[in-house]
Amino acid sequence: MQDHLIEEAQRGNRQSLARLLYVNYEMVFKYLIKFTLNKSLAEDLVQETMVRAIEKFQLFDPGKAKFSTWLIAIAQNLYLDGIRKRKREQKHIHEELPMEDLYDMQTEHDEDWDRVLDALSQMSEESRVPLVLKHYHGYSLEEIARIMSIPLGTVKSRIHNAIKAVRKELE
Amino acid sequence: MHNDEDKTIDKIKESLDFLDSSVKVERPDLMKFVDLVNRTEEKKEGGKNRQFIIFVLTAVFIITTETYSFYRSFAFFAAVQAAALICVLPAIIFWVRSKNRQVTH
Repeated sequence: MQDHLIEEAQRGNRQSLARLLYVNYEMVFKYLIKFTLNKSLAEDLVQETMVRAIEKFQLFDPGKAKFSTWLIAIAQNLYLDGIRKRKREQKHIHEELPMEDLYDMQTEHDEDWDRVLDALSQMSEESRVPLVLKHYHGYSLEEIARIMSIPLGTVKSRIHNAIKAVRKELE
Repeated sequence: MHNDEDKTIDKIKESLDFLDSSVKVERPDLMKFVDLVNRTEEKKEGGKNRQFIIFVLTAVFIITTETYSFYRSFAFFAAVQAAALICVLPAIIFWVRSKNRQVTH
């Protein structure tokens, strides 16, 4: 179904492009929420990703990557650019966000998961992002250093400290 | 020590999986996406028109300067030509590169 939409969108059909973005919205949002743990930030980033995808759609090559992979790469870059920009401007997003905003607390789940998510939301983005990239998405340390533009040693120490913070929360 | 770390990593994965499956997603309706596509495409068209106007104005300015310099003196004309050559080539390269830059890089 998506292949047909891509073909139509590449022919200039705006409705098809809109539908293509509509069907991928949830996937991009779920990807971003694991990094941000902040619903409004994730929603803003998805919106930005969609705009960027519309602007640059003529550069998308279905022979090189799936549309979802292309969207994820845009979303990830926008988020990492945002972190770098905030770092330059010495601005940090550090809001204590209630977990009820993210998911239904009544859903049956392990209590440890609340503590882990709480610990992840309290740490800085600079620590959380390499941890999620390494241990959730399976990126290598070298890849993380490259995409975050930081030294390898910094990646290792940030991941180590992030795990230590989560472990402390679980004790 | 390593065992503890592995357990923590497993808990992190489980938590993020749980978040993935239970997060409340408020997806806007399809019409909002259609609006967004229309607005962004129109902005893109506007940008292209602006680029075209700037291109025409620059071309008119260059041609006028060259014609004027040609009638004033050949040395002045040659200097203007050299300056244009030095400026225009990097500008074209920069424009083409920025135009084709992949958003995923």
